[in-house]
Amino acid sequence: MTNKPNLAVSIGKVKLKNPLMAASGTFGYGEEYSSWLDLNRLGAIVVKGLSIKPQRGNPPPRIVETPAGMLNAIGLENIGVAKFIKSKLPFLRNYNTPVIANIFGKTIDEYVSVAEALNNTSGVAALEVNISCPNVKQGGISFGTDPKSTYSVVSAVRKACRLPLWVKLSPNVGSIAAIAKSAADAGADAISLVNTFLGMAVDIHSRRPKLHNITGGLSGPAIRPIALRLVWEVAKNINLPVIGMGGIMRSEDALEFIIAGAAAVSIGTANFVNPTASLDIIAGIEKYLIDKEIADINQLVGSLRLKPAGS
Amino acid sequence: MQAIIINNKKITDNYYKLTLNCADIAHTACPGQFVMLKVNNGYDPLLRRPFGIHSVNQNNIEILYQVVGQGTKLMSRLVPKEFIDVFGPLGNGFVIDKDIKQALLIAGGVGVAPMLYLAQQLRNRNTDIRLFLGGKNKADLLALDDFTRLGVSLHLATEDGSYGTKGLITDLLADYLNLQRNSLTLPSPQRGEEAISICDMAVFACGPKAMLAHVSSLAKSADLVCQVSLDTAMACGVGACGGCVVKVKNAAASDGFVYARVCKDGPVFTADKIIW
Repeated sequence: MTNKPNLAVSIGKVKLKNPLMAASGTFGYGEEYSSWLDLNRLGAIVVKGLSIKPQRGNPPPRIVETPAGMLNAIGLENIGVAKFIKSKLPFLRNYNTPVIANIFGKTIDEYVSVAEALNNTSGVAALEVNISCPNVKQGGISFGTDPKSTYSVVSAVRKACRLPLWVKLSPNVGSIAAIAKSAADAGADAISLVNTFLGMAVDIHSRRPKLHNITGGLSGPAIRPIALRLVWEVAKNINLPVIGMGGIMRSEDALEFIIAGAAAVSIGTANFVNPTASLDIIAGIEKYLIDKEIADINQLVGSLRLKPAGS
Repeated sequence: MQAIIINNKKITDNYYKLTLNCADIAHTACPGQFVMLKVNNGYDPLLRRPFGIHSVNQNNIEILYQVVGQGTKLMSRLVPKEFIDVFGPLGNGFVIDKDIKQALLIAGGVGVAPMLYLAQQLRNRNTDIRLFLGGKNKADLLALDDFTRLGVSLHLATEDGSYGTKGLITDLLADYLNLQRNSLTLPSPQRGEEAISICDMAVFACGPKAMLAHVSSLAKSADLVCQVSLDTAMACGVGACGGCVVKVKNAAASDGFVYARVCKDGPVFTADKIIW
């Protein structure tokens, strides 16, 4: 095959030139990484979670490294939606990469207010509704662990806003498919998962928690197999595009998620380790498609073979 | 980017010096800036490690480091001709006021790392440079020959008295500042030397937090501008993750402080902005 394979995917109405996104909270507002890679080459950028008012975040220490992973308890620090629109969005409009605004609130009204503030702003392609941050008492996880409250918050944002809604789910739940179904019923256009897994680490000398917040969200390759299983579970049960994430470091990892049913994937912790990780992964996916003579990445989405070949 | 390792030499005990060939960084780095190194190819440790630039020599940079954990242990095993992934230079670096006549460089242990590159730059400005370096014992006092070669005056202290004055480096600094203050009352400079008034002095410090807090208060009571270089755990190094923050004063904010990112807003801060 001599032609380049198609890498473009669609998440509902949002067209991506490739299935690689920068995950919320790991890529700042985009500009932080702009001197290290060409933002135009990314499928999408999901910016740091935005609230109606600026939020200072948790006291340090906020991060701790763990085997093949890291715990973070940043605490949804952000500059607030108004300042984002005024001082960060104009820079992002210089790029042809879709910008996804991750939003959260302490109450449904706050979610709605943030969504309304972004609704008539040019340069935002979709909202990612964060109902899954584990590090703030009312940072959304209180909504994301219960199907009913998931429905309430997503449907309220749906009514307030014309933008496509992606709902970001927590893995810290009993039945993730039930939460995903509530989000779908409430009008979500896509489901993204997973947010981080709640974890902790202890300093055995001082017997103190290593994070000021005591607990934090685990990310990195340590969580990848669990994240993959959750993505597969949601993708096979819900008739919406799924954006998969959780410890993706290499193109092989991204391909696992795509085969398991993710229409696109997000790169999080890998950005910290290697600022150009997304670009390396795109290149690796392209090479895989060429080697396997697959003309279109979409042919691979959800192509998991549950029976051995030939049976 | 991949940089080739020129040298990775044990200096004393747990201290090593890594020399990397990376022209892009060597040609653009300012004193006080840092680089992020990936010390292994695997996932454990997963994250990069930040290191201040110790010195620059043509196309090479040097990293002075102490083996303290898993990452630096792996790093100490790197050998010449291997490649290591590095990116930088990152952070703001020290501000060097062109009018300063005397620079006091205060360091504890491996905190001396960024001070050599600072001294290299200050030497080009005809500044009187004094290094106040402290450690637990003699093995903690690093790069003394390099500073001497640059004409830097050394003020040394060890906690066990094995080298220099016995005690903390902040005690030496306090004594020195008292002496300077008293000398201001002298009628004229002695032996024809140009008098250095306390307002022509600047303080640059790097080391353990307790030391920096003490240096900060000494500088404040002497009315000296003091810059401190902070060392924290980092994930991204570029201001994206918010993992490395410290409290800095901000009258406009609630409770009078905001969080600043050590990697992007620092690692160098004006000492009296920090809430220690």
